[in-house]
Order: sequence, then C-alpha cells, then structure tokens
Amino acid sequence: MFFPWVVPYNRDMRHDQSTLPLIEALDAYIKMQKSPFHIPGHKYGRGLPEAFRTRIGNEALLRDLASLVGPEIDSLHDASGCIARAQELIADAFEASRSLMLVNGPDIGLQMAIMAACDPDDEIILSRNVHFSAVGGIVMSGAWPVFTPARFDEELGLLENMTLLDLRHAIQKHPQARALLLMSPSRHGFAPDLDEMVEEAHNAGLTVIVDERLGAHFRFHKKLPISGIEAGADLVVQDWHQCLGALEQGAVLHVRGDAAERWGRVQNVFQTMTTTSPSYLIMASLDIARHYAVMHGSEALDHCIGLAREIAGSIDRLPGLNVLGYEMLRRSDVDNIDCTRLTITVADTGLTGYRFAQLLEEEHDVVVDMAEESNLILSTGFQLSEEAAYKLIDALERVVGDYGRPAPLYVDVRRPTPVFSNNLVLSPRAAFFAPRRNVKLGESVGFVCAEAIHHHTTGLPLVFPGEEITSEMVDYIISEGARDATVFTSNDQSLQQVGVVDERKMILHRSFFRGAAAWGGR
Amino acid sequence: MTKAEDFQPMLLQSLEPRPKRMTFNRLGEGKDGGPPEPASMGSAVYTFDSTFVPRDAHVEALANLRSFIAELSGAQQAYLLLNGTTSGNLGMVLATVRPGQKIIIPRNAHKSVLGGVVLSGAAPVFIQPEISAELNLVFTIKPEQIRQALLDNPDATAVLLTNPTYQGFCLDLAETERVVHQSGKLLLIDEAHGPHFRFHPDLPLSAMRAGADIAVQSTHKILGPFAQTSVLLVNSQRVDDIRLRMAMTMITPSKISHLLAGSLEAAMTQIAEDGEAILQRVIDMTENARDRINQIPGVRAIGREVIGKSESVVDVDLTKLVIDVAGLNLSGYRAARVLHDDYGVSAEMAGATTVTMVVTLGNDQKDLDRCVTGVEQLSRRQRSARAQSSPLLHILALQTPPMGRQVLVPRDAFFARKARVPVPESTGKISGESVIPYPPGIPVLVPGEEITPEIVEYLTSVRRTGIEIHGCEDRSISTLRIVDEREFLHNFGSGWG
Repeated sequence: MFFPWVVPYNRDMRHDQSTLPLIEALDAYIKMQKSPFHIPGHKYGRGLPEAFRTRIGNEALLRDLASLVGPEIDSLHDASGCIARAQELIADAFEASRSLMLVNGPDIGLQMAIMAACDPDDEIILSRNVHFSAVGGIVMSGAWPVFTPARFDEELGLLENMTLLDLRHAIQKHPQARALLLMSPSRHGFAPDLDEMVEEAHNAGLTVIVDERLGAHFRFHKKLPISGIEAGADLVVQDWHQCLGALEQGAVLHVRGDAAERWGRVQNVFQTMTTTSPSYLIMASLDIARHYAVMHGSEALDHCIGLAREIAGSIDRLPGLNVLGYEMLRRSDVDNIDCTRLTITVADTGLTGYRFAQLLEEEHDVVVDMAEESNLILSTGFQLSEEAAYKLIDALERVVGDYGRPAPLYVDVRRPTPVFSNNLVLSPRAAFFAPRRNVKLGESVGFVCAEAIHHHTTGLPLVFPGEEITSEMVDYIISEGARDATVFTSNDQSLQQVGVVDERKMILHRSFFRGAAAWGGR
Repeated sequence: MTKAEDFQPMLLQSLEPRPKRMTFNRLGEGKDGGPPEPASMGSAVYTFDSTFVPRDAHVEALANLRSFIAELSGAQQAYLLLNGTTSGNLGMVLATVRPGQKIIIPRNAHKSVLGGVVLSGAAPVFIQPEISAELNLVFTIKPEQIRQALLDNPDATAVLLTNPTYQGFCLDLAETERVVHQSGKLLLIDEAHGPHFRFHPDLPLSAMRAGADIAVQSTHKILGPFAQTSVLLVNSQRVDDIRLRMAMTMITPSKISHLLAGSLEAAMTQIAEDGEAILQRVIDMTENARDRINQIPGVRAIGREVIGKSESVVDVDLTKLVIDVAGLNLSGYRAARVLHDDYGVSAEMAGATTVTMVVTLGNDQKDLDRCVTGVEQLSRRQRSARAQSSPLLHILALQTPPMGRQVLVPRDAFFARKARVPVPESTGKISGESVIPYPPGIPVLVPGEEITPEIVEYLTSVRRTGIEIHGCEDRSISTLRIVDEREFLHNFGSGWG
C-alpha cells in the first residue's frame, strides 16, 4: 500500500524512493517469456519438485534468475542497470556515497570492510564485544588486532562498549594504527558515543568501520541512536534480514567519503568475496526492504517503539525481572539505546538466561533473540501486535511463577566472567597458517591458540587465533558449557579439543620460519 | 552417515509454519513472518527462515542434509556453500595452500580461484590451456602439461583444475589424478559446471569418482536449487580437514539462508530418487536438438566429434549445446543477442564464434524446439541478407603475448598502493590488475606480473579491434593500474621491522 500523503522521514533524498528498480526489471523480464538456456538450472522453477514449488509459489520461482540472462538483468559484480539503480536508492536513503548489496550476509560484509581498510600488518583497534566474523577479516587481511580493555559488568552480566577514553588510550599507544572497528549498537541495543569517537578516530587518521548489524533502522527514527553513516563512519555494514525484513543473507555495505582509492579497494574486495551467481531473490528482497523502510519505516518504528515501552513497563513490574532502559544512559559506554530491543535481566529469578529462554520456548512457544548468563535479549517486530505483546508478558510471568526462586542474598554466586588474554603472540593470520596440534581444552592453558573460539549464542569471540590461552578463559568456557550455552571453536564443536600452534614444529621447520616473517610473524 | 536411500528430508519439514510460535528475534518482521510489505515476489519465500525454527532443529537438519549430500556424491564430507562456488574456491585454496607456497592452476581459471590465491598469499604457477583455432574456444589441459609443471615445480602444494569447462569440455581426469597423486600433491577441482556428472553413466567422469581431494560444484547451475547454492565435497586423507573447517567457517556466513538450503534439499532429494532418468531425458532432448541443428546450413552443434580434434579434451558434457555460428559470418555475441531479442531464446554464454546453451532438467521439448527454430531463422536471415564478414573473425589471428615474469605474488599486488599510467608508459612496471581479453578469455596480465613490451604492443593493438577487455578498471584499456613500487618498498621495509 502506498500513501502519497505520508511524507518519508528524510526529506532531502534526491531520488524517487517510491520505485523498485530491481523488482520492476525482473517483472518486465518475466513478461517477455524467453526460453531459458542459462543458469540457474531449475529454469523458472520448472526443474524443482512439485511439493516445493507449490510451497514457495510461482512468483518467487520466476524471479530466481542469473546475471547472464540478458542485458535487461544487471550484474552485481559490474552493476550498471537495475542493480546499480537499486544501490543508488539505498545510498541515497542512507546518505552514503555508495552502497553495495550483499547477498552473503553481514559477516562477509564485515570481512570485506576490514580487508578494504587494512593492509597486511596494519593495526586495527577494536573492542572485545565485536562479532566473531571479524576474526575472518583479520586473518584474511593479515592485520593485527589492538584490543581496548574489556570491561565486564558483573552485576548486569554484559560486556561494555568501547568508550571515547578507551579509544584515546589506544590511539596514544598505537599511533600507527590504520583502522577502528566499532560495534554499534551492541547486542543489547546500546550504542556508544559514535559521533565523537568517529571524529577522534578521523583526527588520528583512522578508517572507521561500524558493524551496524543491529542498527540498520536507526536512520528512520529520530528517537533511535545515530547511524554510522550520519556519524561520519567510512564503512558501515548492516544486516537487513535482522533489521529491515530482507531475506536471510541480505545485507548492505555502505561507503562514505569520496576517496577514489578506497572505493577501488572496496570494489576489489567485494568482487573477490562475492559469488558470481548472486541470488536475485535476496537482492530483490533488499530492494523491497529499502522501499518499505523509506516509505513506512518511521510510522512502523513509531508503533513498535511505543509498544516496546509499554511491554518494558509491564515486564519491570514482574517480580525478579528488570528491563535495562534509559538508566543505562548514565553509563560512559552508552550514548543512546535502541528501544525496539529489550534486554531483560533475569538474575533475580534464580534462573540463568539460557534456562529461561529454554523454558520460554519449550513451554510457551515464545522465542527470544539471544540468551546470556543473566540476560534475555528480545527484538520487537515492525508489525508487532498487542496480542503478541500480551502473550509475551504472560509467558514471562508464568516462567517466573513456575520456576523462579529468589536468588540467595548472602551467598556470593560468582557469575562466570570472560577474562580475555592480553598476550597476542602471533598475528591471527600467522596462527591460522601455523603448524598445529590438538590438545585437550583443560590442558591448553599457556598455548598459543591456532583457531578462533567464540560464544555461539551471542557471536562473541573469546579467543583469537594467535592469542595465549589463559586459565581464566578455559574456566569460563567450561562453566559456560555446563550452563546450556554453546561455545564453539571452528574446529571441534563439542570443544573436547583445541587446536594450538605447534611451537616445536614451527622452530624445527626453518622454511616455515622464513615464511612466517613474510606473512606477519613478529 | 545417512544412507542416501533412507534419507529423511528434515530441513524443509523443520521450516513448516508453526502458527503458535511467537518470535521476538528480529525487527524486520512483518505479520505472520512474511515481508513487512508485500511485493510481486510473494510472501512464501520469507517463511523459509531460521528465525522461525528452534535452533537445535535446524542445526540437526543442516547436518543431516550435509551427510546426505556427501553420501550421494561419494564424498566423506560435504559443506553447503550458500555464497556460491566462489566461496568454495576461496575456502579450498585458503585451506590447502600457505602463504608463499605454490599452486598450479590453469591460466583461465575462474576469478574466484585467483581470489583464493590472494586470500592465502599463494604463488600461482600457470598452465596455458589448449585453444581451438577452429572454434575460437578454450579447450582444456593435457595431463602431460601437468606432469611438466610438477617437474618444474617440485615444491608445489596443490593442483587446481577447472573441469569441465564452461562449454562442457573435459580433461583426462583419471590420468591427471594419477600424475598429481603420484607426486604427492593435492588435486582440487573446480567442478562448477559438473554437479550432474555423477548421476548418469553417459556423462563424463566426476571429480569425486576420479579420486580428487576436494571438488566444488555449482549445484544451482544444473540441478535445480536456487541461484548461489553450491557444495564443496571432500574425499581425502591428504587434506588437513581442521584447517578446511576453519577456512569454511571463515567464509561462510554465521546465519545462512534457509531458503537456499531448503531448495538444495528439495533438489537433491529429487536427484537421489530419480537422477538417472531425469538426466536421460535431458541428454535425449539435447542430442535430438544437436542433430536437428546440424541439419541447418551455416551452423554446427558441437558434439563428441570434438574429442578427436583436440589433444586435451577426452570427453564432453552431452547436456551442453555449443553452437558454432562462424559459417554464418556472424560473431557469437551478435548471434546470442539476435536469438535473445528476436527469437526469445536466452543463451548462457557467447564466444567469438559460438553460442553456449545450458540444457537442464528445467527445460522441456518446447524450449528446445524454440531454440532449433530460432537458430534456423537466424541462419535463413543471415544467409539472405548477404551479411558482411564480422570483424571479430580477423582479430582472432592476433597472437596473445607470452606471460610476464611474476614479480609479486597476487596477494602483495592486491594490497599494494596503485598508480594509473597510460599503457605505452607501463613497460617494465608491475601490473596491479588483471587484463582478460574476450575472446579467448585467458588473462594476458595477472596482478603482480611484469608488463613486457610484447604485452604493451598487444594492448595497443587490441584497442583497435573490438575485443572486449575484462578484469581491469579501464575497459577502453588506454590506461593500466600498476603497483606503485616506491610506496610498496616503503611499506615492505616497515613490515620487517
């Protein structure tokens, strides 16, 4: 439905945002009814089994095409037609210089951004609360991570954002650093002071990457935190599946500023990492999502922010539950919060967040976005109904009533706390390629990790390749594992074994050592 | 491991709508899990989404799908590649070749292979494929060439080959496997165009059957799943599977598309049940069309006879319809355009003098009739118009220059600062980009290679011909991006500190 009298949020867009260039091109192409002798092999869905076709619908099947089909359908790698126009509209809507549609999700988008910003051996400043996909970008680029201090708030059970002060210290200590990676907002919807941090970083000559996987909607409502592009960041990655309703793996990489050199690098990296047969369904869903966000985003957000506040109020009244809200703004690491996202602390119910989420799902068919040791994190949908909101509150109340017990007052129940290593022995890239052997997790203390270990439910990286494994971290991993959380390594998902750098082999292998210097062994 | 016969498709089942569930896990969600706004694509696609499924259920379903595909493809392990075969090529190189180690690849390998070389920092050793002067097409590589390359580079780690080629030409895989494994190297196959080989006895030898260590297949190209859906197959004791898993974790999104994975499950279930019969129908249709096209004056559909005319091709994929239009004095590009615009037949690819049609299980007899009629009309029209000889036919005589020396590995050239210079001034410099003339589609320059006087001369003459140049930024090829050597040395110096 299109209401011409609803004025979109941003009034100074240069392009007509009511069009859907990619959808229109696909629709027009289908009408031509060509005989297909190109890929994909299903040819308008005719080669797929009947049951699947019925379920998915002809409209989608007809639109799953490929770039080489005809000149009418543009190519993502070398866009000049309908895809280029759809990307222009995205850039226009977000005030980016250029925007690229990603069909491989925000993770690969983040890796592209890191590779575009960092040369091998460059330093990149980041906090520990980034998404673990950054590890891949760092390994592939050959950069050295510089971590700002990780502060774990034991009371709330969450990892704090990087602050302006942290950034200043990091820049002082590492004046050579080339890039800064910020996660905004955090998993809990808390945004750091992006404005000032970007300015500080730019003054120090850093390229700023913002992982905005949970904040693609910020631009469309004034009550939400500032968006990465508006704050002046150079490269911004957004997850449009999570925030704007595109299909899974639909994401966007924005580029700001007009340095030709950077754009050339971004394009090179994009073409290296992007499939040459991109899915037109995913791209079309990005076109639709952009249209919806620009035309109706601010109304939808009005509705869901209002409802989210009501829900938060009701949940706060439930015994033992507490929604982290505007009181968070008093903290130095939080500048604004995304109020469409609710972080509920459940510690006072005597249940862990993991157990709470499990009970919600098993007994009440209510699914949350993430669970942590002491928190539940939920996202309200654009079109959340009041009925669903009631059902949520009801379910929370019943879980507390049925299973909750007040937490003992005087017994010191120490929450497991991630204590990160502060000893990066090899660059993550060197560790990835280094000779490796497996040891038992319990016996891995003191070894240099050769793989990435991350917290699966939250996507938090725990150990980077190249870091010394500490006994505190091993304790944390073991205790998290015992609490229904899943910690994954890239290697052994049951986490019996950890790959560590085989130092003896590394020394014996003199040829390897020579090579190590060339790929960033220090 | 699941036996292929008693495979229970779990993924699509787990994605069945569960009306009672209330999900609070993403903002961009419309009513009932549909899109926030309906558009012509329909809303059913939006329900194929992991956010509606309990995590354990879809983790189990994906593991189940992987072991089913592995079993079906004769592999020990299969990885789903929902970012296309590109990601498989990246991961395969990243997992097997360390920085500075050599990998032997055909000069015309897909650009994602070079992408993998950039990510890993490998040193590529190129083999020039055979070119058919008659068809103006690239054939493939002889096992003899691989043996020679291995003799010249005993320190190489792996051999990565494209088999089949885009047009369905196959090299002697059995002999190649013997040569490569005898010298203890890894054999990696970019089998993008051959996911169907395993499922019909009349089709060429598949990589897994031949004993390759890793193969990557674009399942979506031939067998039915949605675009961008591919698989990586491993069957080897030689591959370090932990490093492979690490590499695949890196290049695979943590939240994969369950729409694509679901289509893969549907397509592979169908192939497991009925693959041979389905492919038999495709082969019969194609063979019939080939015969009929061969009756049309001025055109020729290439079939098995090509094997005798080539030193490198030992088999062809019968489901490809490669139509040679040279007899009509018409370039393949022009022919494909006319077929598309005027006769409603969309080809997959055009070459200098050929048009390639990909016939699959999605085509029916009506499509092929329309194709044959289109070619017939094209032939009639072209002969009556007494058309002029196409200029493309002359330029093919243009000899491509020999490769320049590899000064930097592609990774170093990729990350180096670049400068742009006019082509005549680029002699002796290091190229910062690929330059790939079509035809024939074989790079004359790859990042990191020295620009020789012969290459400069070639690039100057190419500009006057109308050969299409790909890979580089300036398509008119009046300037080239080169590595800024001073800047590079400066950075390199600091890297050792």
